[in-house]
Amino acid sequence: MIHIKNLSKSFGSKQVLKNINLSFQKGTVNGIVGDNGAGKTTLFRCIAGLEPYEGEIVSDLNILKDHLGLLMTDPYFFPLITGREYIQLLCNARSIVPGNVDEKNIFDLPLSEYASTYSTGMKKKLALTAILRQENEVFILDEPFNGVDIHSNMIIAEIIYKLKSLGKTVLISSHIFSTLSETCDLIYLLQEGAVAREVKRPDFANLEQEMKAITLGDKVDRLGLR
Amino acid sequence: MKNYLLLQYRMINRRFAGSGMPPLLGYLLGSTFFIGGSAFIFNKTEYAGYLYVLIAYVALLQLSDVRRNEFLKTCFNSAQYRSLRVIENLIVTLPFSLFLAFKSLLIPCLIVLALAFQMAFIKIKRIYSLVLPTPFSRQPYEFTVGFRKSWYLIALAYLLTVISVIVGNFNLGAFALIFIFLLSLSYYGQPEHEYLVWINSLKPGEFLLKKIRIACLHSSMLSLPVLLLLLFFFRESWLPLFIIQGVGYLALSTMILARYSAFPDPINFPQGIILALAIQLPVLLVIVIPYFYLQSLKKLNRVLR
Repeated sequence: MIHIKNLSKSFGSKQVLKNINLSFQKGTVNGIVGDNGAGKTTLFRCIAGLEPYEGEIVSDLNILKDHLGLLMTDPYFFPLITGREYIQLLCNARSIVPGNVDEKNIFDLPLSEYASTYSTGMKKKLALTAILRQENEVFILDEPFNGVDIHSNMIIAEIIYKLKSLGKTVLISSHIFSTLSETCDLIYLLQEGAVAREVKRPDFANLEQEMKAITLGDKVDRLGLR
Repeated sequence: MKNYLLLQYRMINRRFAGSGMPPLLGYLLGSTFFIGGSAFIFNKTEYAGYLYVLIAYVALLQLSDVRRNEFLKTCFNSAQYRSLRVIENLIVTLPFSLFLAFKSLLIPCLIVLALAFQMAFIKIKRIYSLVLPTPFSRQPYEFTVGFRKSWYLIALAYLLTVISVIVGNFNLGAFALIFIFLLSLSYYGQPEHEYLVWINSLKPGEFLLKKIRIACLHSSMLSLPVLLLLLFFFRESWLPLFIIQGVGYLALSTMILARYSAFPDPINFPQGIILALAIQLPVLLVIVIPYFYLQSLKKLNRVLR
């Protein structure tokens, strides 16, 4: 379980997160939605301990970051590291023996090739594979479906269900609402750094309609396309 | 094209400024180090001219990156692209060709100029897709990446060692050993991405010790063949060899601590000066190592707490 109490974060004079109060229970999948710049990634970075913040983030885990798998929007890769070495690096960091990496290569990634030569989707799948091997209790997946092919999207969705059934806590952000509505128990709408709404599964369809209406408005018409 | 070259100039200035050094001072110090270093190398070995050809070639390789040049091709037409590549290659190799001309080493000078032209017209194949096996893969990543980037320089160091034994030149062998450690230091030149630090379930002190332990182990794997060969053929010179090896480990440890004392930023100018002084005057390491260690603990505490 993770409790976020009165979390605020500023970059200089710009306040990015405003007094956030949230709780994420074990065995739940929690979606975070919001426009670009709403503060989703900053919230994730604060939970991961990558950003200093005001307020409190507490969990029942001894040191949260040591049990947290973080899939970044744009995972970082070295130019001359193979996929297999990347997985090994992440396992070593948590003192976990990676075992037979090829056996669990469910995305059929070319693990003997340099990860930097992978496509965007392959990089994402490699980073996800690596954090799954770390035996984490909490997963933060920032845009896990971005750039990933349809078949892999299905596999990622199944992985999320499995993590939930294993009692893990999962936090996901995505711009693809349908993937969130399929996988999440709760969705939080973040607007201008504050939690505007907490929506439960029965109301997901309404939220999607509302978001669509707010996001689109008359923007396309204003383009005056002919 | 003029705008592109101006932009490159501004980028270099920003790099200097970003490291806490006024650009003018950067150019001045760079020139001083180049001239001083060149005088030193040319004084030490008669093969310095050809060593310069190799260094110039390595510099040209940096500008031959496929992705970089594909981007340039999308920006400029074919004629502009070729001119631009020739000009930037000539600018990068200018210090080497000028110094070689100054030393009246015309053949190496012409080779450097020919390389500058040739490299602008050939497309370096995607050699990066060829995975080079390394003995360091169990503990990625600095030595794994470094080895793949500089395997030919390591091979050169081994070649120099063999030559030193054949011609009975101990200094050349000692230089090869120092060169191996300088290469190892260069593997830690770039700051580590914060995610790769964050993933470690270690306290800052444990993390630093792990990094130092791996660096010493891997640098030993590279340097021991040179050390053992030199010890066998120059037995009477065992003391300077052990001193080089020992100072190499200390310098490597200091480099790692300096790297994390600036984390997540690159090593800044004052830190670079302290590091350079300490490596040249190893007695200073007694003060510098604890200083960088304490600074590193502070910096790492943010992501490893």
